[in-house]
Amino acid sequence: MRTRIRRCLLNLWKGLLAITLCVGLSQVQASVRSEYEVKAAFLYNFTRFINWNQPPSEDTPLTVCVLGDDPFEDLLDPLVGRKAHGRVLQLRTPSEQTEMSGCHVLFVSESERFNLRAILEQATRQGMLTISDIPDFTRHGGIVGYVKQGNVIRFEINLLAAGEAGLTINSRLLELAAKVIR
Amino acid sequence: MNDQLRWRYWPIRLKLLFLTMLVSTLGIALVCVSLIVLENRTYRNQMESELHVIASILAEQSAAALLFEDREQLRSISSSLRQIETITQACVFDAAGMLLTSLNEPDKVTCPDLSTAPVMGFEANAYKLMVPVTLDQEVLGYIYLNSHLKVLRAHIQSFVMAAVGIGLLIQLLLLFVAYKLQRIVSHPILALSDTAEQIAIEHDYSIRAPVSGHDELGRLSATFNDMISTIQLQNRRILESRDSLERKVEERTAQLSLANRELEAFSYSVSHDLRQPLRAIEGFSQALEEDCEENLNDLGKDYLRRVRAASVRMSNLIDGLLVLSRVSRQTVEAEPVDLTSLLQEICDELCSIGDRPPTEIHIQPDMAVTGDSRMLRVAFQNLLENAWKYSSKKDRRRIEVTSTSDSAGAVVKVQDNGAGFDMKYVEKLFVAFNRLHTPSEFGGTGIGLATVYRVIRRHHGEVWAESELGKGATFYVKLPHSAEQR
Amino acid sequence: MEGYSILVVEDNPDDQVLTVRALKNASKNCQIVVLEDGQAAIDYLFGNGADEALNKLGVVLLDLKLPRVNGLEVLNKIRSSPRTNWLPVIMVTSSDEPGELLEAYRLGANSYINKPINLREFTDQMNVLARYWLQVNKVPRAGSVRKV
Repeated sequence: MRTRIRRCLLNLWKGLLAITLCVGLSQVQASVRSEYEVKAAFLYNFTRFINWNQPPSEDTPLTVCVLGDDPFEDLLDPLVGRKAHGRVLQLRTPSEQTEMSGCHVLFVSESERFNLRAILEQATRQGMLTISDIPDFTRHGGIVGYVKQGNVIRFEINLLAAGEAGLTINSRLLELAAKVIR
Repeated sequence: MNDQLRWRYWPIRLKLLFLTMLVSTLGIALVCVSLIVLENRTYRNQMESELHVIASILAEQSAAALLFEDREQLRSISSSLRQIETITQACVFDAAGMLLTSLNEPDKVTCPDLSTAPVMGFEANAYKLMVPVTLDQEVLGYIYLNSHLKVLRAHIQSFVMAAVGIGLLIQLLLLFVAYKLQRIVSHPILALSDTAEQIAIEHDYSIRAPVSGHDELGRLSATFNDMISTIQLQNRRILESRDSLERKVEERTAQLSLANRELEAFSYSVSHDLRQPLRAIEGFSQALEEDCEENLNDLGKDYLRRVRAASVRMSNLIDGLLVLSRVSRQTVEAEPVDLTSLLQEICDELCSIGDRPPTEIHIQPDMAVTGDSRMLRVAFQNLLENAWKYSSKKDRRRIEVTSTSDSAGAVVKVQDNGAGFDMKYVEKLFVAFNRLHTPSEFGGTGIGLATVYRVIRRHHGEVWAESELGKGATFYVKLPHSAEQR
Repeated sequence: MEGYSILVVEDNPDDQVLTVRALKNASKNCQIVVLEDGQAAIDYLFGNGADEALNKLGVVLLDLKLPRVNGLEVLNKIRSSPRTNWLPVIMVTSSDEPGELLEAYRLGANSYINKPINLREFTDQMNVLARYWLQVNKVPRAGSVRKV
């Protein structure tokens, strides 16, 4: 009896191992990752722990926009086609603020920091998840901001801003944040 | 081994009690064991599901930390498990199987190496569990939990203790109840057994066993009582018949002693009163012969001679009857008798009286029998006189007495070569006053052999005869060594 | 021998005659006193004139079986009295029952005669008896002792 249960568990385990191995291998390869590699992975992960209060139907893809100079180069390309909350991710690079409507996740590049107020106003109004590595981004009304503590990249969250934008943030994500503005 | 300890020597009360307790112990033990097994399983299942819940919660909690590779957070999450003391180790692996964090130092309870499939489930002293951490069907990592079974063991142990304790309590209660209840069965048996014993010891067949109920025991008691009734009835009959027998014996004995007294009186009167007139007849005949001889003619003298001869015969007859009655009445002594010398004495007497002694007398030496010497003398005197008498007409008279002896007794053979008798009349031989010869052939009273028969019978022996007419007769006397033997 | 008499106690008249005949044949001159029963014998030995009778008496022939007072009683009486206990008493019987004979000897009978059928034999016995008890045997008489 017990041996059969063990055998079942073993088979299950083997299956799980096989599935995860492919994913694992790519990650092992990127064990020593560049800053923006990590940030790109974080960006995707944020989308998975943040919910949009008025979500469009699952058929509509989740649009990730990079506003300003793209620091990721092609590092975000692997995100295309992956899913968050069942929605397929797609990538856009609007060149100006005016082109950014329709975005769901907005990465604000360093280059746009002087126009930040206007961008954040619009983004909040349009329920976008704003992410940036501009220093004190969250203090200025951004929702998620990358911070660097030593060599480790962490993030801060402005829960108030998220509330204004109509976003709910998973508490698990909040637990991981270096700082949460409430 | 002490006999008292063996099953067959146990009293029935103890047997019943023992069997009842054996069955109840077996039942209680089975119930306890099943309960323990069931409890063990239930507790394990409960523990398993609890751990699964814990692991699931942990997995849910650590999904984000895993994704963001936040080891600090993972450590804090896993350290929350410290509050659950049964968990000895908790390990968090990423999707590649690399150990990210563990609850305790890994050397205390090792985290499994995921490159080889670890064994999950219950082990000797632990329960091991591994759950994947998933987010949107994507496996982010693995949580491994190791829980010791001390609590389970302790629980089962206390459960066993409780079960045994309760079982013992119930047993005690059952022992009391069984002790009370076994009386229902054992009481009638014991009552029956006691009754039987009492009857056996006291021989009192009026005692009855109490009959209770109509089951087998009731029927047994009733049947036993019936049997005792039958025995009682038969016993009474036996006693009655014994009493009546004793009464009869007493009556007969009284009659016999009366008859004996009468016989004594009779023999006295025979010897005294009958002899007296006979003596007168003989005396006066002789006086007549002597005193008045010249007045009698020859015919008168002949008549007188006949009167005297008849009186002599009658005298002999009376003497024979007296001897017969005496050997019938006297008590028989049992003493060793030297038969050879006794026979020799008789022969010497007979030789001294008779005119012509036998040609040849052979008496076997050293013959010995047991009996009353005076009576045996009478018997053998008669036998030898017979041999003497009936061989008197032969030219060569031969008389032989021999004996054979075995463990039962001796057989004495008295043989002559005389006239003998016809075996047709052998039945009449030993009957008084029955004669097989006419007085003109051989004189005699017809009492001699009757006397012999009486003497030998009173010695519990036997006497019989064989003969061929003209060739002699053989008389056999069988005497037991002891008068008590038959 | 002539001086002594013989007492015969006998109830049967035939036997009386035959006994007297036998004694006369044995001793012509002896005096014979015949009594018919035991009481008469006791009267003769202990009554009036008994002393004179005892002085002459040589021997007693006593029948065992007598009417009224039987021979054993008479014998007992004779042996119980010092006047008569010296008397020779010969028991006479026609029976040979040992019981009565033993009793007679126990009471002190001097001798015993079984009356034979044959008269000549009886005469011989009487002859021997008279010669012995009247001539050979001398008894110490109570009367003679008293005289001295």
